[in-house]
Amino acid sequence: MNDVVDDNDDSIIQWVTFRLESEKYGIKVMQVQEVLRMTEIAPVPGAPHYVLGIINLRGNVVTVIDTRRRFGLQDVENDDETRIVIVEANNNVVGILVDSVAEVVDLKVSEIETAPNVGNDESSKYIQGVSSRDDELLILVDVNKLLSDEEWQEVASL
Amino acid sequence: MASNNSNTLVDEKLAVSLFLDSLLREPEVETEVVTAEIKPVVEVPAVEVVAEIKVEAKPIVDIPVEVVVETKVEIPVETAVVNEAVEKEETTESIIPEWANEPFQVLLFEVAGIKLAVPLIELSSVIEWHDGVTEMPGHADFYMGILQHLDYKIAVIDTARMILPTNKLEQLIDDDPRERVNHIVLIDDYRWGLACDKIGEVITLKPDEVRWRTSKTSRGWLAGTVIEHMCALLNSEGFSAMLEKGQSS
Repeated sequence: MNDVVDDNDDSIIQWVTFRLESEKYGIKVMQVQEVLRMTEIAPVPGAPHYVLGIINLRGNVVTVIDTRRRFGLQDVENDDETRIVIVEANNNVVGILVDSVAEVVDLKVSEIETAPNVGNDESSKYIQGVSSRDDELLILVDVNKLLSDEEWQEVASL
Repeated sequence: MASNNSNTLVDEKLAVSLFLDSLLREPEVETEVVTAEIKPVVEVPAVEVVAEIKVEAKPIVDIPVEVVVETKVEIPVETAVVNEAVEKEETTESIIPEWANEPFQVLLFEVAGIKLAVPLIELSSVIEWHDGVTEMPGHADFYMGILQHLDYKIAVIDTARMILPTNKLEQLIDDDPRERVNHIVLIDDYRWGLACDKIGEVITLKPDEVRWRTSKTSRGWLAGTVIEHMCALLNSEGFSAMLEKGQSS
């Protein structure tokens, strides 16, 4: 929630929303570079389990993270809705695989609440907050914290 | 046939009674620690550490350097042992909440075949289960998600996974709590929602009907057991404290 606390005025932040399983998530639009349709992902031998592989993005090699595995969800078959969201996080450009991309929404800082937590839950520290929208709860993700510092270094070295 | 059914009924009652009894007991290892003879004074030999470092610089000047470090550490343990003994003696008394000095009402509910009771004084509300519980990634498996109710965002807990002892959790391996639960019991001023399988009736209990837990019992969620109703009485405060720390039974 640091980012939310830092924004102490009630400014508006734009979020790109995507779906995984039955829930809707949001990441800051400023960190999103582009959204790609599913393409061939080349597996990397010896890569961590949360790395699906690499793609060639206009001559640049981009690592693709399996967001489902990262979030502890079961694997599913990719379909027409599957997207790779290219984001910039912790000085890395990576792709995150999601079930579908929904829309861009505007949220006031005051509309973002801390998610109720159980214990310290280190593994969920990437959850920045939640916001009620259209009778649904939008889970806001801090992409920078999607991986630990060591994991970001590991991804950068692939 | 009739006698068989009767036997089964007695067996089930006995099993539940034994289970409730076991909730108030601690593993044998801990009991042994309490009854062990404690000597007031323990002598610990002084620890002596000697480190020897030799450095030689060759290329320009040949100066041998020798450093010897000697450290002696003595650890007095007498006070610590005596204090520990006193603390262990104090932990065997029953913990009876203030509201239980006179008869009190409780709501009965069931979780994975176990009957629980929550005191009405600690109950915020009871609502029906619905699909509006948002699953949150990366949490303990007993955290089912967030429920929006009135102005609250309530953390919904799979009560069965919280309270069942480790050796009984096996029965939940293939269990999907979303198919099992049908109500949510809200406690701690709408902070936590305890998913439950079945809601029962409201009954009145007298303080002496409850076998109150002692602080020796590690199950913080348990206030005591009520043999007459074959149920475990919840300690909401203890339950909240466990959830804050992310502990299960």
